[in-house]
Amino acid sequence: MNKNVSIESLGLQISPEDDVIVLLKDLSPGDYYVEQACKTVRISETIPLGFKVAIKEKKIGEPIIRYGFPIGFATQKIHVGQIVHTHNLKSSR
Amino acid sequence: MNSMSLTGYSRGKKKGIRNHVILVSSVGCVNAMVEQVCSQERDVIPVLHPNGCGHLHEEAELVLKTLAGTCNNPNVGGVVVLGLGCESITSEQVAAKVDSGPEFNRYVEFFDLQKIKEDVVPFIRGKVRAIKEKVEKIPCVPINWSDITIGLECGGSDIFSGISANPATGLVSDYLVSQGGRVILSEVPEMIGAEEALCQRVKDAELRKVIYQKTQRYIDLAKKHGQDLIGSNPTPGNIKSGITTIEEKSLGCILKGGSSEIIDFLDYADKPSQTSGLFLMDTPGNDVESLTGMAAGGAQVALFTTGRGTPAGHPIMPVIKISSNSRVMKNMAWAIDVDAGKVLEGSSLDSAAKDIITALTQTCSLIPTKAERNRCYNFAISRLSPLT
Repeated sequence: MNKNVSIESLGLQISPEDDVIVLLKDLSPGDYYVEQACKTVRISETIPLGFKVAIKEKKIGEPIIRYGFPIGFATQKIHVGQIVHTHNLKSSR
Repeated sequence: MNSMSLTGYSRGKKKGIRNHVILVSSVGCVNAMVEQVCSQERDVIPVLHPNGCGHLHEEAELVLKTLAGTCNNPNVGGVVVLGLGCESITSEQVAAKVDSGPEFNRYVEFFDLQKIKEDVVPFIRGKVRAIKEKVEKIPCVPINWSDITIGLECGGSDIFSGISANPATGLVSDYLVSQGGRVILSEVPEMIGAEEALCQRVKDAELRKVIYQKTQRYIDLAKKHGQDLIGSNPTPGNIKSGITTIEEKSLGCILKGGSSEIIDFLDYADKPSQTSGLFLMDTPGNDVESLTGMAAGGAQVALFTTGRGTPAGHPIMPVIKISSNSRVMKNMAWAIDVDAGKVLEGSSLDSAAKDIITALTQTCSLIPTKAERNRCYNFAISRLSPLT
């Protein structure tokens, strides 16, 4: 179990306002603490490096912030610890 | 890093970090003769391109402006322009626009092949050597960061570019501006989706409108030719690697410009004012065309981030290559100068930025980059800019 490892320590966050962490290494399944959300989440599948993991809850239609700016909006409810990618994030352009 | 160790050359009011002698084609037809002379005079740099004739009016103006701007870059001490004699952009026209004479520490000559009565290659070689003799006497002087304009570029980007190399380069851009220098961010297609982030650093309302106009122009130009710039970005390769939207991709690109106020949006090959700050330049995403535009605008050095690796350089503007990951540094060490990939292993962005500043200091102290050592003299003038 990885309860003492925070998701934020495994990725990079450019701005403190970011809703996502970008992984610097593959994330193996396990329990991880999410500092931003003050909770532990269970990751059930390997998430590859370079992918985004949510560190905040997002509602449908809410902008997703990365680099301190919106990179699109949520097309589904997004839970802390979930991958954020084409299935739940769409461009606003 | 203080600027005490920076060394360069005085060119009128500007300072260069090199003292190049260049042999420039005014038209593509003469390229082979330029190549032959430069293969015999190895320290004379060829500036080759396929342009110079048969252009629409606006294109011809841009070609002349870019050639002249390249010759007037402060890194250039000697210019021989070689033309044919019947082309639209003549060698004389190019030479007339070059600031020359002892006060500029720059010497220029021009010749047309059709008028040379003797053996062409020995003749031009003689002329080039005469210019070299004058240029070799130009002394080095100390220079400061405030004399420097950096051109920024990314090419062969990967998913790590927005995580390591680009943000580290952004810190360097901020540092240079804090020391009185200028930074140019180009490649308009890579600003699509990041306009709001750029606008937040623009005081002038008109300039904010210009940013949106410039990106829209590329979107419309592509649409006119049946291409959807927004719909095709990110690419399938980007998506497979984790980049989800065009906003995300472009925000990752513009990171290399740092966080300074944006002063102006320059046309292709235009020179920034001497105010320190961040300038945008209207160039296409093509690496070589973008580097060419910034060098013609007077940038003395370029910071070029890459994820997959590229040897691209420029005839007179040293290009410092910064890898986003250590694997490409290992595989292409002959082409890469700095590895920002250490960020992926836990090093701070500040530490990677310091490495880039070290490389920048060395380059601005007469030490050649890998692209210079490899004689990568890529040169291409944008044909897109004036046509829309």
